[in-house]
Amino acid sequence: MDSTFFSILSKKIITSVISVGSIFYSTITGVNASFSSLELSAKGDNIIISATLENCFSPELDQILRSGLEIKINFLAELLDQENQKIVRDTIFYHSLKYSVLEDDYGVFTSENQNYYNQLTLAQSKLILSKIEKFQIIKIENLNQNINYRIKLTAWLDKIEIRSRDEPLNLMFYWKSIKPTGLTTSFSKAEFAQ
Amino acid sequence: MKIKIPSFRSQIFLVVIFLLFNSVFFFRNYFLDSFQDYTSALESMDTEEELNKFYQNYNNYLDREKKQDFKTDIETLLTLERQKSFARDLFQKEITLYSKFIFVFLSAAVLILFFFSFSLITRPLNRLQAATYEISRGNWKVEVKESKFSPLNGLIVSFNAMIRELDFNRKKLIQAEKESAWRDLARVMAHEIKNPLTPMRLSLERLEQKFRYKADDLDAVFLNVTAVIHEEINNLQKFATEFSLFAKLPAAVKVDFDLNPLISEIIKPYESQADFDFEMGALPTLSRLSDRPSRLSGRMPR
Repeated sequence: MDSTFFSILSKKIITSVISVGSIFYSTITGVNASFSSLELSAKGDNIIISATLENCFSPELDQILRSGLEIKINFLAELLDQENQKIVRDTIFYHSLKYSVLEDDYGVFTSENQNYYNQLTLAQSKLILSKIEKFQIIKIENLNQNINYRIKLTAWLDKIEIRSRDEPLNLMFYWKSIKPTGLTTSFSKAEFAQ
Repeated sequence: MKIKIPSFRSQIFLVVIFLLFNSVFFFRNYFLDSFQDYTSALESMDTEEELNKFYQNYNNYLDREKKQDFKTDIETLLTLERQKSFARDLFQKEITLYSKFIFVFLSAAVLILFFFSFSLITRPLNRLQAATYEISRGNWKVEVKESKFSPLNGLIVSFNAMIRELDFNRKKLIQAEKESAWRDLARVMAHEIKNPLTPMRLSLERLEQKFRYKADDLDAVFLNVTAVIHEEINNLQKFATEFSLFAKLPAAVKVDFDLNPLISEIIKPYESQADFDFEMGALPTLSRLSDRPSRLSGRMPR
């Protein structure tokens, strides 16, 4: 038995200890992100939804926002057939943020409407990042007359690659690894049909 | 309030826990502090500010096309610097937390191993302690269970051998004491039996002599001799009775005793054989000197 064996053995033991310990404790203090102010309305022929992701930032996450790396919040909007518990339609979109270290300002891109906002402060960028505004879910005509629907929103953060680290950093740890979800009240086509 | 002192095992255990925790804490804090000093020193080297200055200084000297490339490159470098700084902070937090995990794990592992080996060492000592307690209570049949894995097994083997040897010697000693006691007893018994026999024999010889020569005082001597023989037989019977009851001599009772009649009585059997005359003066009464006359007479030289 040479030193390599002990080196491998000790590495395995230490890794196992850290893995087990990480189940109970983490270096990252997570927050309980949640959706609020879910509002459904009709805009022309479309049903649109607005919502805000509350309590989704922490000082630790702010530090990552200031790192200059692109940070992305993904959203999944699902139209649910309430009776049959089926997903009628789902759409994924995202809000991304990038900080310019040189200019000391933030830029935010919202994919649902292809808008790019630049020269923002941290507070402004966080507001845009966490807000879903008038996202078109479905055309009213595509809804079935006799079915009650609900819309479910889910958000999650992408992993980021940091140089000097072997593995990408899972930003979901900053949300306690819980994807926040929001569910609207039940609605039918009749409520929006003119 | 009486403070209970922990047992020897508990004391050693507490000392080891104290030393272990302190030493690991000391080393952990030392390395964490060293790492923090190192990262602080790195942070003091403000590369971001230097890059910003560099950008400001040289940006104006570049043409429009190259300005954009230069800005992108500087931005990339600054982002990398930020990433490094963030990764360093994260790593420091991880090291602090993971060292706690390792500390807990190592402490638990060391304590378990220590407790196991400690038990292996001290369990035989406990057994030895229990065995010595049993022996002190008179139970010599104890045998300490041997444990082949214990480093103190040799001590147990020696202890068991020693106890067997001591028990053997103890039995021999008891046997010898018994024999000695029996010898003493036999000697005392022989003495006690022999004592009355001598006056009886002398009295009978005196009577025989008086009878052979048809002495005038034969009747008186006969009565005297039979009285002596009766008394000595009574003494022997009493002695035999008391001996059979408790196998011991009659208990001594202190009384006032006049020696004169006893000495006169003792002299009588010797008067006919002696070639000298006995002259008796008045002896004082002995106050609580000895026990009953019979007992005293048995002790007197004839």
